[in-house]
Amino acid sequence: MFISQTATAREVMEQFRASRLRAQDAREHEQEAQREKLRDSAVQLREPNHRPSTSPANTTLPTFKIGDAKGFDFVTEPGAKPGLGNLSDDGAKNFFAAMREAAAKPDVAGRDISVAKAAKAVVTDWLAKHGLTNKHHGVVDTALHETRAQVAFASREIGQRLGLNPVESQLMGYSLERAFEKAGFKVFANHAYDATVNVFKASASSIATAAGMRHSAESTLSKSLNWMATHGVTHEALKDALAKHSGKFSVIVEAAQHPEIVQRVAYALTKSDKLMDGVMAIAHDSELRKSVGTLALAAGEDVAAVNKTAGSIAILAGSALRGDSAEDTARHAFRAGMAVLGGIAGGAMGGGVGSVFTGLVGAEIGSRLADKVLDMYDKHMGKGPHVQEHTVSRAELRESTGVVAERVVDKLHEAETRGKLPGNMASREREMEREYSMVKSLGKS
Amino acid sequence: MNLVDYTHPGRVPRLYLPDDRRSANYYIRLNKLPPSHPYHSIHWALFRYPEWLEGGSAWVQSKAIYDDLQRLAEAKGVDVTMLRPVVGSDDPGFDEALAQALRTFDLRPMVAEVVPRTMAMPSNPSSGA
Repeated sequence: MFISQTATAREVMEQFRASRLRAQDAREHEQEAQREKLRDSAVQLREPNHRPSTSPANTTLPTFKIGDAKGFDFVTEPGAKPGLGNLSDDGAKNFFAAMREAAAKPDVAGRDISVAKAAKAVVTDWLAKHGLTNKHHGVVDTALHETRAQVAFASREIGQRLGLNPVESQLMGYSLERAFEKAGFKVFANHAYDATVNVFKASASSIATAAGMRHSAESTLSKSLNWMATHGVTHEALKDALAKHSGKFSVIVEAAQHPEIVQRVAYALTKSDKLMDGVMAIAHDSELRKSVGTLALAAGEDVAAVNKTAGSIAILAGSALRGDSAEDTARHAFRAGMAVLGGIAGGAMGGGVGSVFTGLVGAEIGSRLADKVLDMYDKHMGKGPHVQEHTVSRAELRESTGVVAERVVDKLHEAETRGKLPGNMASREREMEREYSMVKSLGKS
Repeated sequence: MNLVDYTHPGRVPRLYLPDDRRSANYYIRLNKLPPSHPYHSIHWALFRYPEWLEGGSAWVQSKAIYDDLQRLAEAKGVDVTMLRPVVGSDDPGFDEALAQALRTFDLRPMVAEVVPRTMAMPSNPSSGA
């Protein structure tokens, strides 16, 4: 408030009164808006998370290796054998038997159960190694917690041993990571499906960064989805978006960045018409690369386990689908959108135009992620937790990923001719290494 | 019913629990306090990760809630641990931090999540409140 030096007492009084009235008015408006918002919302009670979110593993503490786990070479736990790591022969037999059983399961739930069995085998082995046999599970919990028990593994290595392809082994790896966390371990895991990331060396800072990124991705995701939900992007708009603009369903991927970006995307989603251009325009190359991480994380058991993130995605997807007579159409659109995004992300990660493979992989992950989200939706909307939505058939997947990959390659080619992507794999590797190890953790969002 | 309502009155719809101790003061961040206040801090969180250790404001507020709950329990003549505080301010991170902090007092808190009515679960009993 500006009060001139020469104002009379009366003028000063007037100005004070006016400003107070303005402030009061603004407050009332705000409260009115808030009341309105509250009228349209409901409350759900939930328990706080059982395991107060797991802190990252520590690179200086002894770590139980499963297999060779290359890249985690600071491990100090004695008795690691080549090929087996710290697993005993019996433990390895049980572990791989359970994993093989898991790999044969077609559905998420069944796979998770078998993977949990595998994790259990490792727990037993770890306990036996430390002289804790046949103890009450409370004692076991405490022991794992107090000693900060850690495991390290590389999904691709385990997958190769089971005869899985890179994507499948990655999915299994995520499931395994979640299972270990549930069992009480802190986990080092390398989920790379591509030899490119073999340059990854785990350091304290890179681990902390990865953990921080995952955490902030989750929290921004929930915040962004809340934002979308409360700003009218929900029902009709999203249904429309799913049906017509599925290719631009980049909100989930972009949520890794900032809520602002998501708001931008959501806006573009409701306003713009072109399909791929939107995604390519909004997401710069580096953003895409970071989003690969998010996509992969989401494809893991973050989505399958009932947590905040999964809940919001599922509810969001659910609100789009609910009351929709052409439910299948929307589902396909959603799945296609996720596949497109996965393809873009994968393609960008591979780096070159020639890397159709990574595009395919990404598309596959995207499609599977969509399946998982839809699974979650079904569970949430009361079809019961026992509904087993089977994943897409492989032929179907090949077909759709082929299309997606083609388009991604086209787009990437275009981008490259415009000089946006470096074609050189080697420089890409170096770049990624730098990014993994030296990037500052994302800001608090 | 042993639930006690500590949710933010402006941001969470009323739960209509018998014990209503709602106050916006439980959700003030330490950096929002006047600089002369003894608890004033330039950061509201101590750590960025993990979320429940964000601490700072959430720890201070959880102590305030615990004290209030203890007073309530004394007035009712029951043990504090029999009462379950319900917290929530439509900020998932802070609410989780608050709930985890309350757990360190051996309480079993619950978190109230605000969802748009159109997205509420069909079977949700509190959606009609």
